Amino acid sequence: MSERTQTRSPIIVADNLEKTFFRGRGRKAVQIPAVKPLSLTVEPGEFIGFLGPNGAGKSTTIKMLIGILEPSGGTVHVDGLIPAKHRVHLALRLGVVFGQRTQLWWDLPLLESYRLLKVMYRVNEADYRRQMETLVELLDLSSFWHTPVRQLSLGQRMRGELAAALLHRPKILVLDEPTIGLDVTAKSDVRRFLLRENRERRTTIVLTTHDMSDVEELCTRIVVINQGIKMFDGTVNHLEERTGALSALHVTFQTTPLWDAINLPGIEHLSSDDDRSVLLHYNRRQFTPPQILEQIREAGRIEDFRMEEPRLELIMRTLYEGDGRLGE
Amino acid sequence: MGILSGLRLYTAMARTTLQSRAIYRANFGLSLVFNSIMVTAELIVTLLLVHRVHGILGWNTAQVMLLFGMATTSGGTYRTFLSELSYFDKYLVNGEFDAVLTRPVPAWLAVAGRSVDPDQIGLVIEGMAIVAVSGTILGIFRLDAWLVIGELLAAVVSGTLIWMAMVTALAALGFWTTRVDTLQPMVLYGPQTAATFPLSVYPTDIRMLFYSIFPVAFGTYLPAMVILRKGPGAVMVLVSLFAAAAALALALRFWRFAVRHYTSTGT
Ligand SMILES: Nc1ncnc2c1ncn2[C@@H]1O[C@H](COP(=O)(O)OP(=O)(O)OP(=O)(O)O)[C@@H](O)[C@H]1O
Ligand SMILES: [Mg+2]
Repeated sequence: MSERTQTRSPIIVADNLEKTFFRGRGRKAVQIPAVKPLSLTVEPGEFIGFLGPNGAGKSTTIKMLIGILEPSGGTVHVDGLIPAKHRVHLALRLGVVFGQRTQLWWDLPLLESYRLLKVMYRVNEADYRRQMETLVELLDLSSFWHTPVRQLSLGQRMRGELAAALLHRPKILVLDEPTIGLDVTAKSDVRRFLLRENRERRTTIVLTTHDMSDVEELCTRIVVINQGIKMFDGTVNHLEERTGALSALHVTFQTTPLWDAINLPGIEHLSSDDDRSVLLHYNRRQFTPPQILEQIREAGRIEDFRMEEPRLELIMRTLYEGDGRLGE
Repeated sequence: MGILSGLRLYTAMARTTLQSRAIYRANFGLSLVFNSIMVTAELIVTLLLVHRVHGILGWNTAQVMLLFGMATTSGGTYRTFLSELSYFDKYLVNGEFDAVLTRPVPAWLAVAGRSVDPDQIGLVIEGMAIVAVSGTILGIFRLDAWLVIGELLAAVVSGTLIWMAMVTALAALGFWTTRVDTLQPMVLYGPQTAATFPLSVYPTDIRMLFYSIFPVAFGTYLPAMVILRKGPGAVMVLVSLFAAAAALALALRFWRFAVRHYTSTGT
């Protein structure tokens, strides 16, 4: 497994993949179409951000990719294998982290978990030593190496989970919300680590997250789904081109402004924290900030303004809330 | 997966389980005492019953005690090695099974690896003591002691396999129903308790159930008949072993089928 076969063929191919859950029994059973026919192709070495609002079907799709769930329809191949059928075999080539749930042994120190994983993943002693050394250094595990997992902080635990997922040098890393609940430093540690894993070792990574800065910093491509349907598949820039380059301007007036004077075509007046300020969304390709400031001068005396750049977050919000059609 | 690598994996998982159980080690002595009180009480009730009716259809008190001892031993062995599977539904309800399925290990083996519970060894010891005492009273070790001991060991193996088969099948049902714990007394503990008595006390159609859907007869009654020289020849011990192994194989097939119907949980 240590040598990487450089094949051109895609590493993940999902073809009209579907999953329908049933809630309740018998005649009263309700169908929940969690994933509607979804097709997706991932090339080796890609870093995919798999995005969508709560309940979009991200986790369900991921569980089908790693063989936990059997699809209700369609087919999926991961590294040439059918996940639900060849689960054990495929697991040897996968690293999996669920941010919401630990995969480590709760009562045991990390070290013991790794010893067991070494046997499970058939890692030989030399490879284990080498990989462990790297991971301990990169993830800075040595200080809590002997602490039982249940006593670790969330950030420590997540570093431990990442190391556990990478011990056997998987070809593909699947991460379901690995940064959930982490503080700023812990997040940036995790990101730096993932970036290195992807760029240097060419590990294919599929990541779900609700944190758009994860995506901006890491992903080479994003796939957005909503209600089980794929709404977008491409690069962040590509998404911006299609949705319009959204930007935000936060303006504070000296006194309560004349709201009517702020209603400008093409500029969305979104929210304000108090009765003196306003958050405006606009398309960077259509307006410049000075133009906007000029136009809202009528509303009142401006005390302060600042540019906000949560670009992707804005785009996602319009995608999730809108009818799903991307403005062409 | 080969038997050898499966065994290696199992050993490693079992060791890890023992390590994490060691944290709560204070329980060991306690559960030993608790188990032995339970077993003794059950034994006394059983024996009083048999004594009241002056033996059951040709089975005297010591013979019933032997049967009871055999059942206790195999029940204890199963509990030592596969205890988690009896509360398997908790894995399904809280989604812990997801974590099991992300590992490159057959799911049943992974659950078995988490099941080792040394606290239950007390049951095995008590069962063996009961077998030794009743066997001595009955004088079964006087002639051909080694053959009898061999037959007893084989009986414990089939008894354990039968337990495992039934528990596995029941756990597999958990993939479809959340009512496994309500079924358990009826389809698992019921038949197993029934098998601590000579099955000849039950009406024929019920007895047939114990040779088929709930194959407890192969774990206790049939081998005990051989050991007590009540008719069936020694070959029946082997037949029982074979039947028990087949039952487990069948249960495992059902289990694998069930795992593919796992629906996980939303978060
Ligand atoms: N095991 C399950 N049984 C029944 N319904 C489920 C199950 N898992 C998910 N669902 C339902 O399927 C839909 C998709 O859920 P899923 O967990 O895939 O969403 P998600 O995109 O991961 O959301 P989140 O961002 O909140 O994690 C939801 O409506 C959810 O309620
Ligand atoms: Mg999810």
